[in-house]
Amino acid sequence: MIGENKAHRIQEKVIHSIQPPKRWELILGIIAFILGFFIVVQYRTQKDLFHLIPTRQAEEMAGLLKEAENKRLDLERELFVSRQKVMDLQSKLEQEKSKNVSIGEESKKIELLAGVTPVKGPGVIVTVKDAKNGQEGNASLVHDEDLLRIVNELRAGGAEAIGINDQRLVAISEIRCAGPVVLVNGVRLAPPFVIKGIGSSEILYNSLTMSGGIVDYLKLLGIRVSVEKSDSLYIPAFNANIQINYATLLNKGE
Amino acid sequence: MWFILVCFILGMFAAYFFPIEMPFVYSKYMAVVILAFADSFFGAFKSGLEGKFSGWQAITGFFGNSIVAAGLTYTGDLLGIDLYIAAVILFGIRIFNNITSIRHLLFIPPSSKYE
Repeated sequence: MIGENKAHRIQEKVIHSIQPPKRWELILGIIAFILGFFIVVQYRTQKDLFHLIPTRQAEEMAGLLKEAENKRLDLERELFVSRQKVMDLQSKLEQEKSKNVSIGEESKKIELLAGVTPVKGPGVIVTVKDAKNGQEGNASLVHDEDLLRIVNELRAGGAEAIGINDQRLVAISEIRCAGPVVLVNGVRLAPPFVIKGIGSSEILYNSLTMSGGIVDYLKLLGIRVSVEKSDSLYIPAFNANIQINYATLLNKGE
Repeated sequence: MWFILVCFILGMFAAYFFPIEMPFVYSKYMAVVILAFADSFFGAFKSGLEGKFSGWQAITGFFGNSIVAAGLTYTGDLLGIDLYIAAVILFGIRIFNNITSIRHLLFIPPSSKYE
């Protein structure tokens, strides 16, 4: 009976508690709804965003971020200035380079004309031999004058480098007779003489072989002369020791 | 009673299914406001159980508390003081007190009361 009574009481209680909500319960229900809603929203915010970083730290970090940003801006400005400096220096460098290049070109020209370096290029080869045996007379031998005239003709034709039997002709080179041989740069040369001239092979060839020119004249004397064009000639450097005792260099304009 | 619980759970579900996110900056305010809500809720619950419930008082308390708490937090931020701690402590103590009272009212039969 007691158990029955208890069950009855529980049943009553359940029925009592399931009765429709009173007015205050309705209002509280609305508040509870809002409360639950907010709690979940807040939980999500904290969890999703910075649930490891307390607000204060986040604020500090925001400060640090701002500082870093400012630093970055400063550095960017510096970078800009430095870049401009680099650009200035580069343009200066370009100018210097072009100057250097012109100096280099000039020195190359001078070297080439002075004959201190070997050169190669197109041009003509003139081979000069004495007249055949049997033809007597001084005229049938190749003289220094003949070579000089050939060289002169080559120069007139614009030859940039000239060599006789691999002796490079330079500003102080001599061509003169010394008995049966010819001296060039103090070296004795014997026939046949091979004169190489680097320049426009067409012009050089024509200037040598024009009618009434040097080749015609030499042939008239019986001297065997042949002129060949060549695409690639090699003339060695002037290799004697140059001593300059009397001339002194003056600067331009002095 | 069951109605309030159901409302609470419904609110949580609603928030769960609505993808609402607070900006991180306001999360502190939100926390204080939630505490204020909880305080009003338990206060109103207690008075409801005591039979002294006033709807007007509950609603003004509900909004008034949260506004004051948020204002306190904002002032604290302006002044560089963590004033919201005051709100947190006050609300915390009151929630505990109210819950104690509710427990007494709900679970201790009138016959065994000391008074």
